Amino acid sequence: MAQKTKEEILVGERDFDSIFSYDAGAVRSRFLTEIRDNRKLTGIRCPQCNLVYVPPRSVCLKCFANLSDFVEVGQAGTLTTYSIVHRSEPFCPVAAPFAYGIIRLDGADTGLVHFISEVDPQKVHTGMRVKAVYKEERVGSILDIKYFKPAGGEK
Amino acid sequence: MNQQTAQEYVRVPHRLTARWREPAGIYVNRLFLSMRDKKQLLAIKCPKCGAVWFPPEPVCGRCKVRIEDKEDNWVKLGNRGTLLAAYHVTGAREVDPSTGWHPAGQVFNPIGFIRPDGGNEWTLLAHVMEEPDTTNLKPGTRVEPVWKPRNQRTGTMQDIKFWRIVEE
Repeated sequence: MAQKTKEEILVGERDFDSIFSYDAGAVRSRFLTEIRDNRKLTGIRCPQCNLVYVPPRSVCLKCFANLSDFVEVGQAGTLTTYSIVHRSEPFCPVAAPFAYGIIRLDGADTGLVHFISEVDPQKVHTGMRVKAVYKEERVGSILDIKYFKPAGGEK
Repeated sequence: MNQQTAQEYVRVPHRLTARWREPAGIYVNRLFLSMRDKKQLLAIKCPKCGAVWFPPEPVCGRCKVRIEDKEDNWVKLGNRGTLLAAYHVTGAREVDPSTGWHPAGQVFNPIGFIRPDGGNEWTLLAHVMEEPDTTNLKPGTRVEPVWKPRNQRTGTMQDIKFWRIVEE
């Protein structure tokens, strides 16, 4: 068994398909319903360190204060980083190639991850200004925002 | 936006899918080839402490020495084994997070912990039992594998359909 012969290599085909759901919780539910009903983007402000989290969360990451001070943030923001995806995967809601990135909305101190579209992926760059584009039929999902598109200008 | 109104709670539906190809590694690949072509289970023996490992591994789980890929270290396990324990999977109401598969009320056959002949106290194999009733699967029960026919064996643990009780 140990002699050096060319051995056949078996390659297993694996697949994974998991259907599940989770409760968004009180704070994140507010974020999603505001998008669905009012096309508004909601953050939450920490009363102690004044940071505005978008998407909102219930506890401050820095000082662990309980957060309840919802604030509306801008529809536009600045792209802080991005990635270009070249390979489509079945779980991904859009086909490759596409760009997605982290957007710091005006008035927010943290970033929201979303798609960047209506622009050649090669021309996406950090610091570009982008704004939210909504779907007509909204169901209370982060994908009620179709994508962010260039808003013109730099920051 | 700060006033307290009746709060609506959102449930977020999700679906994760992935597909990939995966080789088993040199040692387990050899086990799978042997199962597919010869219906022979292979284990590997630590040259230092003598522990027999199934599935075969390149490092001894006990004394952490490398188990070289050489003739002396490979062990051909016997074609029967002894049952150590068996249990029913009863809690699978949800989608299995590792496979995405939903049992939908299906009753599973018990899983048995089997020590194949030729192994020692470190040798353990978990597989499906033919016997549906765990009360008939006492520790010490002698069992043997039931193999799929050659044209259905592809080199996986499922080349063994299940293990059945054998009278001795």
